[in-house]
Amino acid sequence: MTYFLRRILGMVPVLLVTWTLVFVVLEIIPGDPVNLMLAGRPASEEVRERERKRLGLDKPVHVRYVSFLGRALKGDLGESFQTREPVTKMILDQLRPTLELSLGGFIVGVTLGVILGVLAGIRPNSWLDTSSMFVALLGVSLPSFWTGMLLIFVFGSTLRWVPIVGEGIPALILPSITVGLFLSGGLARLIRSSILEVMGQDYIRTARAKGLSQWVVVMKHAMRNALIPPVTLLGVQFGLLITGAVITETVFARPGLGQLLLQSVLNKDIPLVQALVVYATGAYIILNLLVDLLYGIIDPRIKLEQAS
Amino acid sequence: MRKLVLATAVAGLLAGGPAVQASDLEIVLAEDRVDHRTFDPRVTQSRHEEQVIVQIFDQLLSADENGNRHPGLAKSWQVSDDKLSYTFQLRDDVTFHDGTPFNAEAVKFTFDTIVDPELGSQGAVDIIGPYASTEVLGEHEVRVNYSRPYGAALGAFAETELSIVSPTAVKEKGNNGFAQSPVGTGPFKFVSWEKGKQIDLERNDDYNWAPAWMSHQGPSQVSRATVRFIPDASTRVAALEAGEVEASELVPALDMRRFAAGDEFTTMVGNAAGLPFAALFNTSRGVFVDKAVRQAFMHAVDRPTLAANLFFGFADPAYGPISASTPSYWSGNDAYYPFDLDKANALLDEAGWKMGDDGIRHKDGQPLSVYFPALLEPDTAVAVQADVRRVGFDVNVENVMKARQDELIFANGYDMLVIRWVSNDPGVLSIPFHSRNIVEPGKFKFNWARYADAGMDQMLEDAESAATAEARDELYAAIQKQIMDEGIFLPIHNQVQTIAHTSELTGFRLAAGQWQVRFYEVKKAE
Amino acid sequence: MNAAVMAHPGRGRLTVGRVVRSLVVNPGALIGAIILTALVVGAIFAPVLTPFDYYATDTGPRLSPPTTANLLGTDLHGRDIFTRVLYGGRFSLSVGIATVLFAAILGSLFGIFIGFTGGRVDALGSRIIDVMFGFPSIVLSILIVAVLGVGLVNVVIAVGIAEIPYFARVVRGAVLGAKEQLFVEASRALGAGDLRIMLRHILPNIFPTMIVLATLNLGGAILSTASLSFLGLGAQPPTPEWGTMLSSGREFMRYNPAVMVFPGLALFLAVMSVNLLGDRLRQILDPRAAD
Repeated sequence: MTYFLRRILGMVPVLLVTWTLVFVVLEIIPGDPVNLMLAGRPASEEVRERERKRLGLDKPVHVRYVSFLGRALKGDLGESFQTREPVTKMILDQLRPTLELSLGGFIVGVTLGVILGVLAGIRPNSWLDTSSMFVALLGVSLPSFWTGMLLIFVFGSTLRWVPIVGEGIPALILPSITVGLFLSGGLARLIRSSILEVMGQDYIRTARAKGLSQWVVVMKHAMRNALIPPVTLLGVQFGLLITGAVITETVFARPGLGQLLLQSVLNKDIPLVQALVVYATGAYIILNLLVDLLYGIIDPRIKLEQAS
Repeated sequence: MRKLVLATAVAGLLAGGPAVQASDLEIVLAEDRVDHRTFDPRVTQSRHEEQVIVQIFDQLLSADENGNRHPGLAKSWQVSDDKLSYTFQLRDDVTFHDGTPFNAEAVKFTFDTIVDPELGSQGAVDIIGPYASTEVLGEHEVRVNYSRPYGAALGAFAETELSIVSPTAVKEKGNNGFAQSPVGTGPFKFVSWEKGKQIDLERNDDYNWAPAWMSHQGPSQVSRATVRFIPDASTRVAALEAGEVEASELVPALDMRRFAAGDEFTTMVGNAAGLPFAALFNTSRGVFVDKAVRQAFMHAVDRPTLAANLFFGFADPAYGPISASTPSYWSGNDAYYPFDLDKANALLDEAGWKMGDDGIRHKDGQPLSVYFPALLEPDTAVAVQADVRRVGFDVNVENVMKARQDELIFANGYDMLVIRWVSNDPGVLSIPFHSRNIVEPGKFKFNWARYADAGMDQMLEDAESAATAEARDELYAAIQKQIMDEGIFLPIHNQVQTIAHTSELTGFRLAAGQWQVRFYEVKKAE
Repeated sequence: MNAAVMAHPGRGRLTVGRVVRSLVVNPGALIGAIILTALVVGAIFAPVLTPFDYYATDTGPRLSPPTTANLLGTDLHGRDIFTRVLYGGRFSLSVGIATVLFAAILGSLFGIFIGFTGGRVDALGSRIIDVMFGFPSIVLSILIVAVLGVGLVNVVIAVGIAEIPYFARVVRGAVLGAKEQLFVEASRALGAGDLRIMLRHILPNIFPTMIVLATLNLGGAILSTASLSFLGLGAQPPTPEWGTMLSSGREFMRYNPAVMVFPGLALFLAVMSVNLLGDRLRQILDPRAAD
């Protein structure tokens, strides 16, 4: 318990730094928020003053900073300049498509990554290793927007095997592959080196000496331990998933948080950008805590106390 | 004495087309934009918002797709001799979607609130003109007064922006609430708005007051209609082909060509009236302060080739400040600024711009550079950029979003911008050319050329209040001539609305102005 | 400083000649080197290799498939795709390199500063590095572009800033390690200033690591900058940056796949060859980091 408390406390400076950064960035962004809020509607000076007051822009910077931090903690981050809806609601509305895409991408990415990594890891320097690692290299080198376009062109427009619009699983196939390929390359390399390391351990050698087949050894003994380093990197994968979401949602013209982020930045919808960044850091932190927990489950020998 | 303009009276009920049996047809239209803010006709100035509004509301006068005016919610009307008052006899059989009756009070409420600054009207407040007041003469008779003659008034009463709203609903929901769930008298009722995704409408089963010129009476065959926002053109086309939507607007020209060649889909093209797709030159800064430079630029753009290349025959080049389908179009426009590289080069030589080794002209050490933030049609910007480079212009195109463009407009930080406007009235010319519409801090306007000329202002005002059609045409011709002579406006191509819909349906009809699609008459093809 | 001779603890001396030889014997690295050289040569000698300007329209029929006149076909404006892909290398590759240089220089400075100063500065600095590591880099890049405005230079800065922690972390580690080494102590005893110590001893020491890191990051940097251009935040027309070409070709790929296939292929090959070279370089120069 103390461990988690310490972890959570340790995240306070992280949050503070990020949120301060967001506040500063949006403070120096060019453009008058009142103009943005009014979005071209004609308005008298009185209306403008009223809006300025309503947005709290008449107060000095430090007051606004403190109030921003307070609101960030409460999860009340104001309403969008564009739609005048509460930003939290807008984000929740777009959460589902992005979660679906991330989950789909994650499943494809982990499946592909594990298969390639294991194939490469069990027989290092064989042709299997070389070709698996070559596929992994393709994965990290393919621009995901290009992969997406190729998939749309070949399987969507030309062969018409899968729908490229709409909701539901079929329309999720190509976007998931796009995100998954993007993730799989790095994961495959990690799993390979992790397996190589584990295979050299004494207990594996013992298992092998007992006459167990290569596959049984790998699946029963090596995998569990080989998964630890990749799991710890799930936090980093989160960043990749967000990147994947922004690009993939653009290529497939899917709604979602990635699109929301891109549009909010381009439209200078400041409250929305703030909220997205605040929640993204929050999610990242929670994810990291979960990863630590997972770490303990996969490898019970590691005490949480030590992991810090 | 009052002059009787039109008195076909209760035509709708007596002489209307055959009533059609209601069916359970459901249709989805793919729409280009996602950034809708309001569906209050009094507030909007967006053609995309109006795509929804035309289904929900009716107007005093009803205009067909060619802009001809017919009785709408008003059965008949009279214009006073001094042209200051318009009296309307209203239909007495109309109810709003909320069950309240349509009457003279509703008309008065709608028009009075449009001019109330509290509402923040963007479109209607200009369209309603020099509005003074509305008098309720009886339950179903109303008189609208102007402070000066307003020749465009009858046209204005047919515009979507002057749709009649339910006063009860506005009072109940407040202006902002009404914008989110509008209540009108139209053939469809507003059901829900999933922001950034879609609008759902359902049939108004009580609708029995369709304008007589429409092909049938009574409720629509369409029981549910959805407008789905799909901002990406390729995705709209994919959705249409996958059967996700029944119709799509703004279909790319190449897809239109493919659909037109097959049987599966039917294509429909609207030639929008109003300002064509055009560029405004900023006369207040940079190289475009010099008229000769602006004229050279216009001569260097090969508009027929550009339109043919980018639109594959679906859009015509434009030559005047308003498109040829707009009333009072001046045919003299067609002779202006033909594609002529020699002329362009000569103008620039004369103005002192010398060609450099890099193919860019210079004068006093300054390059002939133009900053062109492009909000719409990036490929048109690229074509213009390549065209004028041949005579030594260095055009820096930046594809911008609206927020960035607004910022540049306020900061006067651009050399040219693109504009387009759907309108059935040549009065639209005031919007970019009257000096009162030059942007000021905090006041977003559309005179992006920053062109101020007292003569032009006077002509625009006189044209609005011209007594006869001839006087009006003459004034608008003079206005168009001056705009072309000054070289502040580069018409590029006619705005086209390219619609494709499944051939299983028929009856899609363009609204006046030829941009929005009316769902009312849609039915299954035989 | 003599860049040709790189000191590497525990491994004797590595010369450029030896590095090149080890690269050549590895088939992957050899392929990478050949592709990359071809792309770079194509970019540099584009004016000689193609008769067209990258912005010239109507070089052939519009949206034409590959022909003898237009080797890779044309786009909507009749611009030659082969020409634009060649010139595109100038923008896409140099933007990637500039990004890595930017990140490497700032990252090294930051890493050296906190590593050498130590104490609270180091603790805080490391914390910042951690935060930046976890933060989705595309969010950071988009935010920075929002402040600076669109354009290739701003994309370099945006992606560069997001990549700083990779360099800062490694350099800090190297500095901490080097600090303990005897020769630093010796120099200090002789009265050398802090700056001199860093420059003379630590920098050459971590140089191989930096080369590996830079190469490994270059592929990602090219991808990230192209991604931002694809999203409309980078290169503006008529610049033939590969990411921009892909985004403007998207609508027309159905009618001429060439508009999408070739710029994407160029981008993919560039990133892949850089990654192949990076992997091999890591094995040669930084065996501890290798598998």
